Amino acid sequence: MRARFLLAFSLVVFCGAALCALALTPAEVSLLFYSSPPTQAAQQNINVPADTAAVAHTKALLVAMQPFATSSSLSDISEALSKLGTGVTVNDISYTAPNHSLSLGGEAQTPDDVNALRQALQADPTFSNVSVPVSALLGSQGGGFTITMNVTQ
Amino acid sequence: MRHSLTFLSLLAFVLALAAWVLVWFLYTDVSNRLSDRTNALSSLSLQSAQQENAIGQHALVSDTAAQRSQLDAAVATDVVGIAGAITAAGNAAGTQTTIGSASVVASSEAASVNELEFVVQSTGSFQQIWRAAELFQSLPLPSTVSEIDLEQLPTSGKQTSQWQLTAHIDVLTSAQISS
Repeated sequence: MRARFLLAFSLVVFCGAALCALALTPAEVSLLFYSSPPTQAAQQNINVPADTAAVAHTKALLVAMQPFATSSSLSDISEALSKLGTGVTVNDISYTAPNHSLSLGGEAQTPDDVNALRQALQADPTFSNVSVPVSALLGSQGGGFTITMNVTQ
Repeated sequence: MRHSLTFLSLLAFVLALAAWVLVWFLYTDVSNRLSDRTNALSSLSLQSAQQENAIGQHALVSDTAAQRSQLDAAVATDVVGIAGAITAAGNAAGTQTTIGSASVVASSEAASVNELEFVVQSTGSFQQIWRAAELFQSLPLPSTVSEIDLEQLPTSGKQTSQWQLTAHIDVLTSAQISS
């Protein structure tokens, strides 16, 4: 009786194992035939470090060249000179591009001429912080004056 | 008869156990192969992405070769050539032009370029130095006029009014500069 029970139990266990093996077989067969690692795509003749260096060089060069793409300062000077009245002569013009600072030095027949020039420059949106020494406005510099201003971008 | 049945049942039991051992090995093998294949695919995907990047970068480098060459040529002028261009511009405007000094104000190792500042003085009539200033601002070089000063020179008698232009011209060059 015990032997028969063991035989029946063994048959059931064997059948279970056979079913599991049957279930695993397609995967095993599939992997057996297709498990070779996929072949790598053919390498092109690319020198990656050289390309990277070339790109980095060009990028750095463009960054270095960026400050050189500036607008003309002469147009700003022309704009300032166009405000000169008849009683004013300019004999020194100075322009510093990095801080957009413009200065005009000269002589005026009267302090009113200096004041008129100051007002004309202040009215122009191209210029800001127009500054004239008080002594020039009072005429205590013998007609000499220096006007400093910033050029707005 | 009973002995043979016992033997048979024991044999069947052993075979059943052996079958499960076989199943276990089969499962382990499938599992390992799947894991290997997943790793291989992952590695291949990474390599493929790297290769795509390399191809893209190579295409960019190849397509822009002419422009990059022009860019390099634009900064290739040496110091003597730059000085010559500045002097020629000043002379073309009818002024007497001299280069006072030239110094390195900045360097970029990555771009292999130096920024040189030339201090230039031109003398002439106002129209002439104005024209010279215009030409200095449009030199065929990567340059910019960072500072400009126009000053009327003192005159005596009937001498015509003379002006002096002092310009600080910054020029980018890849020429080797010994410091």
